[in-house]
Amino acid sequence: MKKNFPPLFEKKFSQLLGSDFQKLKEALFANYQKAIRINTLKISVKKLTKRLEKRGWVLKPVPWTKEGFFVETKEKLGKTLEHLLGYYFVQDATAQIPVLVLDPKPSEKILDLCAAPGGKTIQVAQMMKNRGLIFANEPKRKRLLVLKGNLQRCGVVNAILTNLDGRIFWKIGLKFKKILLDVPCSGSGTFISNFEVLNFWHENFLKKLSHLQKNLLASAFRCLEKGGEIVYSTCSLDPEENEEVIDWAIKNFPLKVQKIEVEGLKFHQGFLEYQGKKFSKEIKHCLRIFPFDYFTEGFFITKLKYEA
Amino acid sequence: MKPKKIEAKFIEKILSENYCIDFSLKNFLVFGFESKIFILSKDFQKIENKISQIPFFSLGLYFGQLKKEGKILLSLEGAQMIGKKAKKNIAILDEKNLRNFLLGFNVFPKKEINCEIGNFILLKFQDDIVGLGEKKEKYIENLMVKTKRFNF
Repeated sequence: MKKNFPPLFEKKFSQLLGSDFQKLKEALFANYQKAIRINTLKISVKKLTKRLEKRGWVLKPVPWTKEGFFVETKEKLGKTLEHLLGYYFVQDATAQIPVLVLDPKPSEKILDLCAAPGGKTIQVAQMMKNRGLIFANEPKRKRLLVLKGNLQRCGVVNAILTNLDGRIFWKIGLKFKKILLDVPCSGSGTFISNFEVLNFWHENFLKKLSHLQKNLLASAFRCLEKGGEIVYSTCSLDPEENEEVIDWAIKNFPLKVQKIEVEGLKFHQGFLEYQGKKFSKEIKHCLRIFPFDYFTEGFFITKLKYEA
Repeated sequence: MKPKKIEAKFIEKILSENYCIDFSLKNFLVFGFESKIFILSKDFQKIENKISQIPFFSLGLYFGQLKKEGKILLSLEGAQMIGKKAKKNIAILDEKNLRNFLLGFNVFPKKEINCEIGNFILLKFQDDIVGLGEKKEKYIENLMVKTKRFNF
C-alpha cells in the first residue's frame, strides 16, 4: 500500500524536525507496537502475563510502566476471554504516560474532563486502587456509553460520570487538586497505527481544534484549586494543538509548566519556536514522543501548576 | 432521578442467602435506582451534600438487580467480586460449554454446586467467573447480554 504524508504536513514537519524528518517518514512503514495495560483492579500482572504467555503471547514490558506490555499474538486483542473479563485494556504504550505524570493517589478527587473511551480513566482508578473519586466527563452521548461500558467491564467503582460540554464544566462549582485533560485532537501522531487519520488532517481543522483546546484548558483552570495541577495531553504532532495552546495558557492564567520525569522514558522537549513565533522558555519542559521513538503513537504531555 | 441509599447489610443478606457467602460491602456506598443496585467508593460521602448540584449520568459500578423472592441478578462484575467465595448456585463449565456460553447458547455444566431451579447461577470456567445463567430443569439458560457475546 502506498503511504505518503499530505504535502503540507510533509513541508511543515520537514522544517520542524530537520534531520529527524526522515525517521518520521520511515515510521509510516514501521511495524506498530501494539500494547495492553493489565488491569490490576481485577488481576495481578504476574497471573495474567503467565496465563497469556502460556497461550503463546509474546509480552515485552513497556519501560515506563510495570502494568504495560508490548504484545505479539495472532489473537484479536479485543476478542479474548481476558478482555471480556476486564483483565486488560488495549492501550497504546505512550497513551499510558499522562496518568503516570498526573500521579493520582487513593485519597484524591480527580477530574478527567475528556474521558471517553476510558483507558486513562481506568488507569487513574487503578492507581487510586478504586478509592477516592474520579469525575469522568464526556460531552458526546455515544462516546459516554462506550466510556461507561469500559469502566463497568474493568470494575471501576470510584467514578462519577457526567455528560457535559467540557467548556462549561466549571459551572458545577467543584474544584479539583488534579485534572487530566486529554483533549480532542487531530490524532496526527497516530498515523503509525491508523494511516487514515491523515486523510482528515487540514490546517483549518487544526485551527478549530486549537480554539476548542484553549477553551477546554480555560474551563479546566476554573475547576482547579490553588496549587493544583493539570496534565494536558494530545496524540497530535502539531504545535497548533500543543505548544501554542500551552504558551497561550501560561500567558493568560497563573499556570507554570512543570518539569516532567518519567522513569524509563526517553523523550523530546517541546518546540520553542514555530512559524516565526517564539514560545515561552517554559515550553522546553513539555514532553514529546514521536512515532519513530518507540514505534508507538506520538504524544504530547505537559504538566501545569496553578501558582497563585 | 436521585439515587436512594441502601443499607449494605440488606444486600449482604441477599448474597448470603443465595450464594452462601459472607461478603462485606462495608467499604462501599450502596445505592439503588428502582431495583438496580450500584456501589460507589465511600469517599463520595465527602461531596454527598453537593450531589443535587451535579448533573451526573451514572454513579459507580452496576452491581446487580433485585428480583422477586429475594433473589439478585448480579452484573458480571458483581459476580466476579463475590464468585470465588460463593458456595451455592455455582456451575462449572468445560471449554466446549464456555464457547457455547460466549456465543449466546444455553449450557450444560460439567458440575453444579447446590444449584436451585429458578435461581441465578454463577458460571465458572477454571479460575474465572465468566457470566450468569438461570437454572432450568435440564440446562442453564444463558443470561449474557448480546453486546458481550463473541466467538474466541
